[in-house]
Amino acid sequence: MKWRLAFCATLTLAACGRLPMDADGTLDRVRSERSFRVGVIATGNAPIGAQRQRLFLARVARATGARPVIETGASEALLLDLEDGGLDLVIGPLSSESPWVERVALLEPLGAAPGPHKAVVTPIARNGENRWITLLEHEARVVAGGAR
Amino acid sequence: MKGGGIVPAELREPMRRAVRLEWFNIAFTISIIAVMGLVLGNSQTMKTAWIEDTLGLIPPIVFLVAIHFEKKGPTRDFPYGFDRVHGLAFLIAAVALAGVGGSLLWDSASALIAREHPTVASIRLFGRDIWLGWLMLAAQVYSIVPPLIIGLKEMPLARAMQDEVLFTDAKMNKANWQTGAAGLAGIVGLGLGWWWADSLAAAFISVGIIGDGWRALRIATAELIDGVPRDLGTTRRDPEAELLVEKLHAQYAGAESRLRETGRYIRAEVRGIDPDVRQDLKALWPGDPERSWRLAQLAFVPPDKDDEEA
Repeated sequence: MKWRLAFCATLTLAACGRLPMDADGTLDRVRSERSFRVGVIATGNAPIGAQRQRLFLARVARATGARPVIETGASEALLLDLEDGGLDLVIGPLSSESPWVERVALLEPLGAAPGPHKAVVTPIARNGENRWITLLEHEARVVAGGAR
Repeated sequence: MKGGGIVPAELREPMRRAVRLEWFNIAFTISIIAVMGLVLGNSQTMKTAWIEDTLGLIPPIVFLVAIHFEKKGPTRDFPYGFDRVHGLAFLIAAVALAGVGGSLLWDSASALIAREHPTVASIRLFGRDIWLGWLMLAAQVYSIVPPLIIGLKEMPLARAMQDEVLFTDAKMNKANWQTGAAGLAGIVGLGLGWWWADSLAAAFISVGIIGDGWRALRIATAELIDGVPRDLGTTRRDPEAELLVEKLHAQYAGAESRLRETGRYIRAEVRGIDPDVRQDLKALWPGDPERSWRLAQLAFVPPDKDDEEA
């Protein structure tokens, strides 16, 4: 009985560090390939919060030991690519009323974007990659908090 | 006259205890709904379990309302009293259960078919990032314990009072650990990266809800359309009632004896003979004497003129 209890406790403790895991193994892949693919949503004007974006990507790079591979494009194309697993991360303004809200995971915003649509510059990840999302969210909170 | 809606003396004590227990039940259920609601997130399992917890309020409320009416006794407009409010309320609850269960099953099945990957992120708590799944697991564990204890306490009271609503509530509460276990498995599976675990657990829970509704529907229907008395929580005939009807057949040979149930009480009718004047309902009851209150009425229907000519 005792060893069983000890076994269960060890398993629980071990699991504590391991949960959550990614449904599609994004973080493991990022770490092993030492790179992650980022899509930055192009806005007509000067990039909003460019400095925070850079800071955020640098922090994620440091936390994973991987290098960001950045491409820029229209939101629709980037989000479709993200949904299919072609991108690991999209950054840009996305309205909380956008139909994409259900299809991808909007994380903690890096900061508010100026404009009438109440859009915020947000890291966006693929649904279900919960470990990767947790890591991104941690860095986003640090960036958003530090800039306040 | 007995059975005119006056609660028998034997029932007063268990009824009082059951009412108190159901108030506790409601208070705990509300606390569970609040705790689960705080950590719902995007998980289909959590949403389904949360709705099931909310549905758990229906039986205690139905019970308290029905008891309130039953104690009132007959009125001018309702001369037979309110014994059957139970059955009516039960029917409404059954339809609600089955309907909600069906819609939840649809939700989780379509999430499975669409291969939706649920996102459960983290929240910042006391300056630390905590995966919301851990809080979901804690809430699920909390949601298992109180119903289990309340269900165990309800079961003997439901038997003593022959109360279908209370019995169903006790069974639902006791079965709640299955929901809890399914819920825990769903969240842990989600945490292990199995995207399908969440919806699968939710589907399992909703099938349970539909089952509860279906059983309640059958029981309520049997009572409301004057079926023979049923054994508690089942659609099988009540063995004590079977004995009673045999006894009536023997005692009034040639007459037709039949029984029906109004709430917890049994009403007997003997057709085709002239009324027998001396009646001791307690002595007539063939089962456990402590449960003789169940026979609330014996009515005689004399043969009419056509019967005699025939």
